[in-house]
Order: sequence, then structure tokens, then C-alpha cells
Amino acid sequence: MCQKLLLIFFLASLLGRGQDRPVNDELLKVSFEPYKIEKTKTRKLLRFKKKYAAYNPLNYAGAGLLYLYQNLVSEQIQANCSYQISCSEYTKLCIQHHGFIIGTLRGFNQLSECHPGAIYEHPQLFINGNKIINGLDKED
Amino acid sequence: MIKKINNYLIVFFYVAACHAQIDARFVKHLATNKLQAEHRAYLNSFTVPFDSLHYYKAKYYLQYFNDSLLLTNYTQSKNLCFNDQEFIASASKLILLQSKPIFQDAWFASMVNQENTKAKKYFEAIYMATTEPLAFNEKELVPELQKPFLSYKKVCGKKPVLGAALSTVVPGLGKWYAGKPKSALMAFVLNGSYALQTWESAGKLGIRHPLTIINASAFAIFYLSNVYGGYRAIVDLRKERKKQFIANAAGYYN
Repeated sequence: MCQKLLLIFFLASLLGRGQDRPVNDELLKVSFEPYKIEKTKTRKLLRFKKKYAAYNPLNYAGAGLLYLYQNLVSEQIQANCSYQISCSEYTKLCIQHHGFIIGTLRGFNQLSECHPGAIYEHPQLFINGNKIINGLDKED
Repeated sequence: MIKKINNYLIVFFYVAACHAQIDARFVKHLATNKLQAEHRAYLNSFTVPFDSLHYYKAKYYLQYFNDSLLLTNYTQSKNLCFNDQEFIASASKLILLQSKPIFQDAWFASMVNQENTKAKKYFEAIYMATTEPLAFNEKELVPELQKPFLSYKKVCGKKPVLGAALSTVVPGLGKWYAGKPKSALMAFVLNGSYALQTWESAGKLGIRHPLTIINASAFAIFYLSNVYGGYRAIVDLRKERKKQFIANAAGYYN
């Protein structure tokens, strides 16, 4: 009887050993993998969602004007936007996502809502300090 | 005879222990210390799929949120997942807040045949309130959530197209209708001043004068954006109040 049990124990332990996998090596490899320096991607003026949008010159004209405004005018007039993504940046993003017409309309709509009182018209979840959170949604 | 059975039981538990493939304490350590790469490598090191692996994978995809993979693993280890009420509550909260409606529908449809637990009942009520707010009775919710729900329900009763139509007639009226009186006033003043400026320059300098053309273009852009804004105000406010309501509901459950 005792011999039989011992045999079962021995077989079971063999079975248990069979389950050992080289997990530790994998984990060590992941943990101590040398930090890779990512190659800097080539900077594009705009990243369009739809391919054909890249061939629309109006998109570039609009983005170019906004770029000029952001780098030349905005700093001079010390523009202080009520939104977390400033109106000009938001317009640029909208042009990328929705094209020139809808993007411009959205941007100007935000511009007309950019006043100190706008903060009281949004729920608490969308207020960060004294700025309104206005990211583009997933559904957009 | 009893001795014999005891011996066999000892052997059985020993073998079962040898077969225990996932080290739960190690997974907990990886999760609490947010070692994402190690966590993923450890879970992916198991080649043969089994119930508890899917459960731990579902927990992993809940922590580093990925709704589609969370759902895939959840459906393969539904009973195990459903025993963990904390998992169900936090997954429901994140899916309601961050996922697309298609994933929300799949998540709550998968819960239909499960046992009625506190988390299930609570989040199903929140889901019903957000999907069909006009048909939902606010008295089914706890008193603390009734106010944010009513403000969401109020916006859901409004029509975006009517907002745009009102803004076409009087600039800013669509925003007033949506419940943004300050922005409405701002839009009215902005559009009114551009319209007056265009009218004045057209009268004094003529329609073909560059200044008139610039004024007219500015007025046209602001007017069109105001019409579009009348539509967007209601759509955006719906989304915002819905998220606020869900955030309040999730906070109240915790």
C-alpha cells in the first residue's frame, strides 16, 4: 500500500514539474529590456482622418492661417481661452477630423462661446480649474 | 477504509496543487504595482486557455482599459467574473463612461441570465436610465441621483433640429433653447454687431468695397456657425449631462 502511495506521489511530483514553464525568463526579459529610443516621426502639418482630405488645399490654408495666428498673434495679445484646448487648436483639430467646412463652423462656434460665463453652462465633470474640457469625442 | 480514502485525498490535493497554473498572489502584486508589461507577459505565457486565465485577462483589460478584449475574455469566463462583484461594478462603470453604445449593449445583454446581485441591479438601472431617459421613472433611482438624471432628461426632450431652426430665425435663440443663456446672449451680440457693421459699410462704402466684403464674410461665418452651434449645443449638452450622471452614479455606488 505504502509503496503504491509513494509511486503515486512520485508520479504526481513529476506531473507538477512538467507544469514549470520558463515564465521567469520571459518576465526578466520584459523587465530588463533595454529602453528603446523611438525614432522621431516626420512632422506633418496636419494628420487627416480621411485620405482624400490631404488633397484639399483649403485645409492647408486654414491650418496655415491658424498656425500663423498661434505663433504670431496669440502671444502678442496674450489670449486667454476659457477652454482647455484653445479655440485655434480646437479649430485645427476639427479641420483634421471633419474637413474644412464643419471644422471651421465648429471652431467659430466655440469662439462665440468663449467667454468667462461659459464655465457655468457645463457640468462639473467638464471643468478643470477655470477651464472647460473640450476634447473631441470617440464618437466624433 | 477511511485511512485509504484520506491518503487518496491527500494525493488528489497534491496533484491539484501541482496543476494550479496561475499564481493569484503574483498577479495581484503585478496589478497593484502597475507593472503592465510584466503583467501582460505573465498572462500571455500560458498557452492553453482555461477559465481562470480568461478571468485574469478580463481583469487585466479592465485595469488597462480595452473594452473589446475585456468583453471577449469576460464571455469566456462569465461565471467566474460574475462572482467578483467588485469587477462587475468597475467594469460596468468604465463601459458606461468610455465605451461605444454597441459595447454597452453587449455588456448588459450578457448579464441578463445572471443572478440578480446588487451591482447588477444598480448598473442595469443606470444603463436603462441613460439609454431610454424619457421612458425611465426617476423615482427608481436613489434621491441623490435624481437631480443629475432630471437635468439629463430635460436635455433629451429637446430637438437639435429645432435648436438650429431657432438659431436661423434669431441668432443665439437655439442656444437659449438648449439651456445656455449666456452663450445665447454672446452669440446674439456678436452676430448683431457684425450685421450692423456690414449694413453700415455697405451703405456708406458700397457692396463692392473690400471692407464690406470682409465684414460680410465675417458675419456669414459667425451666422452659419451660430446655426450649426444651435444644433451642436443640444447634442453636446446631452453627452455632457449623460457623462455627469454616470460619473455621479458610479461615485455613489462606491
